[in-house]
Amino acid sequence: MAVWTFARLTLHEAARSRFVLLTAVLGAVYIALIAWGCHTLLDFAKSPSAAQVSAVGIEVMALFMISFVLPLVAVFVAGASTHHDGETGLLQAMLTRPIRRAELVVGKWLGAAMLLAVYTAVLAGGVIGAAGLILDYYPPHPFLAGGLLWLEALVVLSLRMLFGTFLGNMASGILPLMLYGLGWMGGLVESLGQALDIQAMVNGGITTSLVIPTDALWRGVSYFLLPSVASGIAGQAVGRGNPLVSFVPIAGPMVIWAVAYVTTVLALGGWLFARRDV
Amino acid sequence: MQPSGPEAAIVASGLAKHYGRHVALHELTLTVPRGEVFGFLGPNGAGKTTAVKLLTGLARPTGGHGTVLGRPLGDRDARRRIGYLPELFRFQEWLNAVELLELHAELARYPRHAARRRIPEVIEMVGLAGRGADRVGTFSKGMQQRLGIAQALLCEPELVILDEPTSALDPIGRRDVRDLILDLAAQGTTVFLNSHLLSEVELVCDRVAFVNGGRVVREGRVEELLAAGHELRIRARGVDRSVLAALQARWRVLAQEGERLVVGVADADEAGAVVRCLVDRNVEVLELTPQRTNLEQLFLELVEGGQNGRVDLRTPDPARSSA
Repeated sequence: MAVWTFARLTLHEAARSRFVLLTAVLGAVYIALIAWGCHTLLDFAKSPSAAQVSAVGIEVMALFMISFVLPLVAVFVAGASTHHDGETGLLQAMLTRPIRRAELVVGKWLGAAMLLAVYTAVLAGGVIGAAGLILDYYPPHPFLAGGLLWLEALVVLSLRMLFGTFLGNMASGILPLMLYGLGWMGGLVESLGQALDIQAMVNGGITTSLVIPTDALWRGVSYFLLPSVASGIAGQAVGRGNPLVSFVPIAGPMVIWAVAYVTTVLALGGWLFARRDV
Repeated sequence: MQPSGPEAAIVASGLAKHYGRHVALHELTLTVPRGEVFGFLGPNGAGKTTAVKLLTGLARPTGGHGTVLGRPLGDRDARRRIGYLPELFRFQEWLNAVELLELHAELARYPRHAARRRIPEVIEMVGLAGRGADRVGTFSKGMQQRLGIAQALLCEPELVILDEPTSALDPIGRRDVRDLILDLAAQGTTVFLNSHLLSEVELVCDRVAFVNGGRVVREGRVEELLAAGHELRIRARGVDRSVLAALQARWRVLAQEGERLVVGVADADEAGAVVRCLVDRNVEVLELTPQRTNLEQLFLELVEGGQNGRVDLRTPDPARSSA
């Protein structure tokens, strides 16, 4: 299937580009900094339990930063937009081969998704591993946390593929990031709404999560980083309206919505590209 | 690959492409028989590349219909049997030549074992032997064009569509491409050639179509079009209105100034009849040079004539095709 051909082509291109090398080096530096931070905290922690609490804080903050970096990487790792490639003559010879246009869109997405999976695993695994080795804290569900983090990046990647079918490189990269920012703002509004008990703000946040579910996914990630005892905080004042961390697990329908969102946006991208003149 | 059916390679019937109010192609109607080298000629903006994009399925027509290798436009089975070199193309610069051809073989579902044999063959064919392991980004524009031709010929297509295949090539490259096209024709491959280099088109094409303003203004076999365009350049004394009228009754008088007279005839053998016509009217013929019209002259006549309103481009003037 041409999907695999295009996925391999995307991986091949990434392997030969400096971008992947650069992100790998920066990722390694980031993990090293987190490890250094953990080590410093260990010296100051008065007890093993205090060290573990510090570890939770470090992991949440570190993965929160990663949840910002991954959408940026998703935008760049997808390469040039299909619109740009069509305008500059890269696609013409390939698209006259006996392939479906959607195979190109899905193939590029798949290649980029695989790279993002590796990058998520390395970064999140590095942070969790460093905190675990040094501060002896391992979150109860690291794979679920990593999976949701990856899904968050896939939301942005799918939007990039969709916008890339009719917009140039710059616009198709900026728009998903703006939507991502909107999602984050929506999450903030929802948290404030919960803290102040204003239902309209909560509803606004929920609506934003339907428009782009990235913030809801991040909250899901944060929950899986917390120790099991944290779920007891959910009903308490500290657990309500926290803008960074969720003390309740992500709702199943929201995960289903996020997966459906990624699939639908990608399918729409393939459908639109199939109808475009190149 | 042998042709898989007796039908025409390309049939276009009233094919049109409108972008809003802009008409890029206006009712293109033509037939390209199998096994022929077909030249598709016209000035910039005439709609040639649009037509090629419709035929290859890169763009959708807004009117009319057509078939390529017996299948509807854009059909995937037909695309498997087509080789195409776009006019403006760019390849993945980070791939080397062999990797690029492997990619295209894979996309074309060309058997892997056949590709292993065919790739060095086409690389050699286009004069890139020894450069297979070099990255495309290191290639000159001319070498990239050669590589583009290699990818078009890679899967032994039944129909090869070449859009300006020699635009970046030096004279040696142009000659090589000319020879390649003649080899393809000898093997029975249909070639649809879109080129501005009319002298080359004249050398390789069996049939040509001139397109202007988004429609075909003249189509025919090259020798027939050229046969209809012989000129006699005459220097003569005593040519008056009655002599010109007598000439115009049978031939076309293209120019007359002083002793200089240019008469268009269907066949150079008609020189004798023209001379007799002049001598019978007491004209002293001092010099006569028969000259064959080439495609370039015909092109200029059709395009400039159309622009100046001197020639009705939609219906060929009968006086031009018969004496």
